[in-house]
Amino acid sequence: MSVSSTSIASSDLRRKVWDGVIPLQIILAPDECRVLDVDPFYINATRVSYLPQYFSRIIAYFEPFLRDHAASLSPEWWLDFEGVPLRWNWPIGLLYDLLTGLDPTQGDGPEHDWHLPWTLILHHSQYPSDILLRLASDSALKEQWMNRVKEADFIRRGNANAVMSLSKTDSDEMWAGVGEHNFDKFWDIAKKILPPDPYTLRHIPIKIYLPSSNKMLQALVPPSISPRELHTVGTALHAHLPQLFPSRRTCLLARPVLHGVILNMAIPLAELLYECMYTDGYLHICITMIS
Amino acid sequence: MIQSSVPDGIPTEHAINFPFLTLAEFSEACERFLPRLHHSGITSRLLPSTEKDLFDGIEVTTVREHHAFTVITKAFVLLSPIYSLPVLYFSSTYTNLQTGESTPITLVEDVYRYVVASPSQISILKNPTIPAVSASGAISQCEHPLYHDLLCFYIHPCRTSDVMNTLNADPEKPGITLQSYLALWIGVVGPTVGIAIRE
Repeated sequence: MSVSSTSIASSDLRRKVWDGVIPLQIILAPDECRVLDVDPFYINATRVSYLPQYFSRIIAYFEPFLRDHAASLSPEWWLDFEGVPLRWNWPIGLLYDLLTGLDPTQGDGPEHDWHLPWTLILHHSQYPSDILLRLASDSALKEQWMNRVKEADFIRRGNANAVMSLSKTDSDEMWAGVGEHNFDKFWDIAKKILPPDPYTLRHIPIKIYLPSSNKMLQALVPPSISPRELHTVGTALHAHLPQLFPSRRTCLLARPVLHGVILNMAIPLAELLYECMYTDGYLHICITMIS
Repeated sequence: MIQSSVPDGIPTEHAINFPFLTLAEFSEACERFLPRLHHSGITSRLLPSTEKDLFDGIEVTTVREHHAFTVITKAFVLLSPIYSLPVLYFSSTYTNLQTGESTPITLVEDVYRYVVASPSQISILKNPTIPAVSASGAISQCEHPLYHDLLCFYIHPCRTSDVMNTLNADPEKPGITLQSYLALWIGVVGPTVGIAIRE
């Protein structure tokens, strides 16, 4: 990735990130079904979107088979993967990479289980409100997303003025870009709140997710270590997780994964942000252990 | 979340970058604030940090007693790693005094109904003229930053810097010290969870 490619003009990589999908196989939980043998529902979910965005389509499919019809009118559905309730406020790509323990280097072996399509169980009853945020209103997802967008803006600039001063039209348009999965709708507005030069940012919005736990590290990483040295994936991980990343250049114990790809330790973080950020403005990076 | 920090120097009397606080300054402010809470009869304790000689914040327990119910709130005064400002996180349990049944409060509407005792505080929190505030008001649910498996609520810190700057702007008075920082800050967010300190 060269410095000259860093601009907010459209980039191939940004488009590829946007187009990434995880095929889902949704199975209705037996205790929600009126009948036996309901076929699963299949859908390609985009990595940068959120599970609740698919609920109306999923519930519409299962509606004829529901034991409790009133449930189809309620927004508070939930999904589990191997018994683990899925955090609907985390992007789907992040959930998949983290929970399947994705190790992209293992893909060539015939034994490797990619968990594709990703099989999830759909529930309505007994919402795990000790584990999952409430999804009781139609605006719950937008509110959570907006909180992250404002945080990311604050991290980038030291204030959230850019996001706050978006007109309501622009702000709605940006959210519509997420909701409709429309690249141009989203990026036309997102570009307005990103400074043209990523090296002028105060810090890079980044969250690092540790494997097999709910631990998430909120790290404040500036774009540069010094006027001559940029923060790379490797230097940032070494600074904030030295036990897992004793080397700044080589992955010895663990690997960073973003959008299903192992990150090269030499990539400058500022450029990675501008090419590969999620819609909330963050780099959500998950760590997988080297087996 | 795990606080990732760069070592700080020993804090002086004032925050170097007021209203923003370093970990060391916040820890110092917490130590100075705790006696004020105890003096006001508020159950509270410092949260020791994994960083030597520092504190992650303060845990406060408040009880709201109504004839039909009791609400117990555990509030956490923590430093936001994003905003470098104190943020109040809290989780509350509602107990029905007739049935004896206790349930955690997880809906924002219920926070306004049962936790926030004063109507004037509710209208402050829901003031739409402040664009920083989301439709539901200044309170959102979130994953607890220290105890990752817990859920809680927090009061959006977007207003905090404005309020602290306003409080600090009086030319008649010396700048806000670490000694008084949290006592002033709690005046803004404390009423939400029933924390009020005596003068």
